[in-house]
Amino acid sequence: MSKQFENDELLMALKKSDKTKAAPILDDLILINASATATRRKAISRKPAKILVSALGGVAAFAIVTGGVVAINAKPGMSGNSNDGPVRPLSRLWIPDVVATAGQDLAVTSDWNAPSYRSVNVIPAEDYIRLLSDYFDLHGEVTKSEAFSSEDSSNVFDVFWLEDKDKNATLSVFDSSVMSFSLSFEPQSKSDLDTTKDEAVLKFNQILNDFKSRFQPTDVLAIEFSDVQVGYLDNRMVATANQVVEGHEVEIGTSATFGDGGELLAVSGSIGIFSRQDDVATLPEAQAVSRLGAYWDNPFRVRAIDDPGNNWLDESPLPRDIYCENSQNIEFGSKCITTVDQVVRGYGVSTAADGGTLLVPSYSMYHDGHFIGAVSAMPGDHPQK
Amino acid sequence: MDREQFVTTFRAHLQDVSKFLSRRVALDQVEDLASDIFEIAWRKKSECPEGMELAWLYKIAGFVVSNYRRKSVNRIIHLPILDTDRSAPSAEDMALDGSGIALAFRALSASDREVLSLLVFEDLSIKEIAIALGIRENTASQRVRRSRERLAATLTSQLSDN
Repeated sequence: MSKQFENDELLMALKKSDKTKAAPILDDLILINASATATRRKAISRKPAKILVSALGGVAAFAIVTGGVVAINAKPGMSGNSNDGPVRPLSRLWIPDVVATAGQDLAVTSDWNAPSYRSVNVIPAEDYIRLLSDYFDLHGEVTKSEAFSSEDSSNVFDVFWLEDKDKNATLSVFDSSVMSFSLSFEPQSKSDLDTTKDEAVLKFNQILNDFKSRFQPTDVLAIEFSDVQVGYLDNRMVATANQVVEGHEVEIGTSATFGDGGELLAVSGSIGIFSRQDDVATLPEAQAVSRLGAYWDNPFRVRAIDDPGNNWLDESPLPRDIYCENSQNIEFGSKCITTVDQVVRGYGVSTAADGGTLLVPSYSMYHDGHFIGAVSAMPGDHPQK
Repeated sequence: MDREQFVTTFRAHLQDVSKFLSRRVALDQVEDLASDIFEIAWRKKSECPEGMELAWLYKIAGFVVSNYRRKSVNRIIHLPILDTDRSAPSAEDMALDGSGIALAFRALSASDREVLSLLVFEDLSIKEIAIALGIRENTASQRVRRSRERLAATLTSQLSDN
């Protein structure tokens, strides 16, 4: 604090009231990425942020964060959305707890027996970066960056990265439960031809097919991808595809960014290798509604492809409104009362207690056609065990 | 400033920026927003006043946080939830203890919280605050003084209410 205020008792008291929080550890890679060109940086950072979440599991990542801090700061019974102030541990956007009622059309019994899937680590990150660099014909020393990023210091994981100075390319691989990577090129030249969407689809499909043939270990479930979608991000054409596991499309994706001349600027994403777990009898739809609850700190929430918040192409406005019957009376700290009138089955991404990635049967819940949230349909108190 | 100089110069401020962002946005957004901040810093590095790198980063960070909040509110929920037009730590999101001073701080306007936060929590000097807020040093000094006065008045009022 400025020296002229060092003896100011009021401001010193304010300073003492600040409870130290575990800020994420940032390392040089952010600076290195930033000092690439703007185009390249966009290609690198947008997806890695997504990858990071994917690597930890979206909802569970919050749970990890919150778990760590709440364990230190929270009093029993305090929710993450509490407005009681003193022990509210995290800085994050407030979203009201959902108190949902099951609509009359929701099933009260379940005939849905379904397996879950668990990630298996069959390719170490050191080998994975070699596979990728071989495929893209990149050459350079592989270095390891410790504590690349973490929501708290107990969840640091490694990033391996390779910089090919001749090709002006940077490749990074996250050592996580799914194979997350990011590759960006600074093109040496570009053609005069504009890339059409069809060409982008063709090029990206070729990459995906090559990945499948090169990265498919034996004796595990086949790596498959959804149809390629093409859109725009930061005025760049981007092709994306989600992973498909035994016919279930899940919110684990890979994307490629193309330059104005059709040159490949970036490829990034996550590819999981999963093993099938035993079938379980899922929770009835009507019973699962109560799992919506809190947005944060809720282990039952899963990442689902239905969530409009995951549609990051085209930067389209995403009025992810939560339709609350008491919307006129909602203010900070109050709850959103709503009715779930439609449930769509799917597979959500969650995180196991050991950090592995889980694909679990899930319900995406809607009110009047508007997405409210997706929750695990797995029975039991805690879906991450 | 070449790439190596950029990394060398700003490496020391990585955690300061992380803490700045952690006071203002969800922790899972910190890394992405930090990337945005340093990308802008790289593009505009010639404008960085020597010796005032951190304050200059906070100025960029303020814009990035404001922009992020607007987008977040548009994307996630349409309910009135936060001050979205400023980069100040929101009253609800500061991890302060339960003391009267913390409650008084929460009750201040976003503008007051912004300037006091830069002074008290981000440890900036008046000159640095001026850079971070893009205002004159004299104006920054006045804003600090007035915000401090309002903090004191709010605290006094709260104490008398109790």
